[in-house]
Amino acid sequence: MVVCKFFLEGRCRFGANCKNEHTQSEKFGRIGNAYQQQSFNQPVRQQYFPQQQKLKESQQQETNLESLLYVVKDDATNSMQGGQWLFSCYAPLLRKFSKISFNKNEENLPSLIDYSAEELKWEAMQSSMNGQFHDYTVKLQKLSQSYQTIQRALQNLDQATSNYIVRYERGENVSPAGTALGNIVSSFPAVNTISNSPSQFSFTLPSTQNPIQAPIQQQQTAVAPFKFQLPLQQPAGASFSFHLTPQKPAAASFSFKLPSHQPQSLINTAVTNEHNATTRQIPVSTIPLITENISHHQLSQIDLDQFKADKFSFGKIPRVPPPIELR
Amino acid sequence: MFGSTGFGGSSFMGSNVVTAPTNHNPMKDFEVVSPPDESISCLEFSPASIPQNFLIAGSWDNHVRCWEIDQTGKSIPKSQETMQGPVLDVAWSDDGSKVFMAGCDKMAKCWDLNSNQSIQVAAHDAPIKTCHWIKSHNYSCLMTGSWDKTLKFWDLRQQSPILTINLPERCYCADVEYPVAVVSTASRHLLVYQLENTPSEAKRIESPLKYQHRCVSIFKDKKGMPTGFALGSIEGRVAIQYITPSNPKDNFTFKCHRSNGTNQQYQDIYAVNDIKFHPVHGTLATAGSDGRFSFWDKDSRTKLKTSEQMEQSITACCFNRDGQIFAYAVSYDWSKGHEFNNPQKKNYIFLHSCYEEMKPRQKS
Repeated sequence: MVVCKFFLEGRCRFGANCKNEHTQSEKFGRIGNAYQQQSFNQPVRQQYFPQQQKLKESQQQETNLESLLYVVKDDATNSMQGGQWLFSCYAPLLRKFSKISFNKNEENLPSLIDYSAEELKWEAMQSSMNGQFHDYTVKLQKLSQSYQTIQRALQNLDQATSNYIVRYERGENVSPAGTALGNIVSSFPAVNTISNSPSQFSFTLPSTQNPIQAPIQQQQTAVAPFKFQLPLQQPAGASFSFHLTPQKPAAASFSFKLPSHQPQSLINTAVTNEHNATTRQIPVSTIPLITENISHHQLSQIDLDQFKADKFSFGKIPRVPPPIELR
Repeated sequence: MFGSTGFGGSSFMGSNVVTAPTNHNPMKDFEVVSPPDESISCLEFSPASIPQNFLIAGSWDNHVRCWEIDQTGKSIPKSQETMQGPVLDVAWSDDGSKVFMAGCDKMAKCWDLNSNQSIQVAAHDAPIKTCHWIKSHNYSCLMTGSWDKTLKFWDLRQQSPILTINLPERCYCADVEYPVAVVSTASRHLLVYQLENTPSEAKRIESPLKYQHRCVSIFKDKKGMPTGFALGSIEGRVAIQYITPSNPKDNFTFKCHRSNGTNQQYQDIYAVNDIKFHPVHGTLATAGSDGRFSFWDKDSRTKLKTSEQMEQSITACCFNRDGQIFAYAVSYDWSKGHEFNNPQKKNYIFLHSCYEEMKPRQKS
């Protein structure tokens, strides 16, 4: 049987009625522009990028971007129906089909901001630690509704939104006001704010007198994480019940070796908070790695110059600690 | 069913939840003892410079755990370290003597395994999402990427970074294969850095993916030079991208970690949580939010294998130094929000023997 070359390219018109062979190999990523994966039963219409053959027709004049808007609709439909992570940016990637060589507009459509799962989980944990978990759920609900509204608008594509996207992909300086993309998504506060604490921390090289200090922290951090308890048959918005669980001790059959001595605590007592009363604090030893003292006679000239200089030059940083005399 | 249930709304407990597989180890792989109680964010095996196999796992319970994995697949807990917040990334030094860990406490620490001591070596203004050790002829340093939109390079003995690079957005994922580093941020930015002499931006690449980036892994050519990377997104899709492609058709994308839901017309779309390349064969593994892992051959563009479905998503994976063991962590990745978080559910780390399975297919 002859293997159908159109099927391999993902564009066989005859489908199951084709007289050539449609091999169900697990090949993916066609050599060509029709990125279809044949191992899933996908309606042929769902394409990530518009097909090569459609482009050839319109390559004489500029591609009619309006005719490609179905890609945006399909993307929105697939993501909503597929349970995709909601808090993601979105780029229609249609501008390569317009003849504009330079497009000032960002590829991502406005209003859809990226939030990763880790950011939201951290936000949830922090809110919980601050006793503000309910507020978090309310904010998240609002955020979720904003994204869903935009995705539904992309699925339905009214005239205003269609016009906006076409002009946006053409590189025009156009405002999204009046379309679903014009309503700024309520941003998640804590994720975007960066604490004003200085990012420096201070430590000294191997002289055991000075303890290492933790950086100044704006937020309270508990040593042990919170465990959320799912609500059992509770209506939405009800307060979650959660409780602090102390760290489970290691199983009897083995033990993780903790440092046998705990000289200085890494955690400044000034930074601890009331949660520590119920959690077991595990102090971490702060003895630095290199402990031998090297006299400056043993150093190379380059190292010696580096230590004498005000700051290290990149590429010449000594690999040994400075001698006592130069500290 | 997962699918159109969004956030908020009614509670999802009870019979609405999809029936998960009842077997917690469907692949019959070796189970690592004493796994973390909270989600596992990162997994790394020790480098080739030491003969044994040590596995490091960072978790949302603030701990970094270390096991020794012996020839029979048995795991022996060795030690653990604690951060002041959830751990988001771990890295090994090139000589296998130190482990770096970074996370939500905005610090990175260096843990010396021989002395079992640790010191802080880095600080940012927001949680640190990635940390990688860079070993160059004339310098060695730790590269940290943070949600504070900076990439910082740290000499371990200095309090200030030796270099700070501003990123266009929050750092989401990164990978280093000397002399190349690839960093991806929120809003789909892709930055490539060259690391010789001093790190500097080499180019910015337009993302071939339409949605949020989640993981990135550099691959090398036949001569062992880093030549491109695999990029995973939340949309169940991976892009294979060459840094300087000889032919634009070399770059392509493929769908993965999709499944046919009860609604036949639309697939369920799951995020790609981790991507790693096999150190010997050059084939790649993807870990999905759908609770499966898959092996792929990017050169012949074929899928080699897909695993059975785990009880929860696979949040991290890694290969050991000689490509014999594929480790994967089964825990909740927060992809459905807090309502689906179940602290009672056990987390697992499994060790899968993968050398034969990951051999590349001959080009047909």
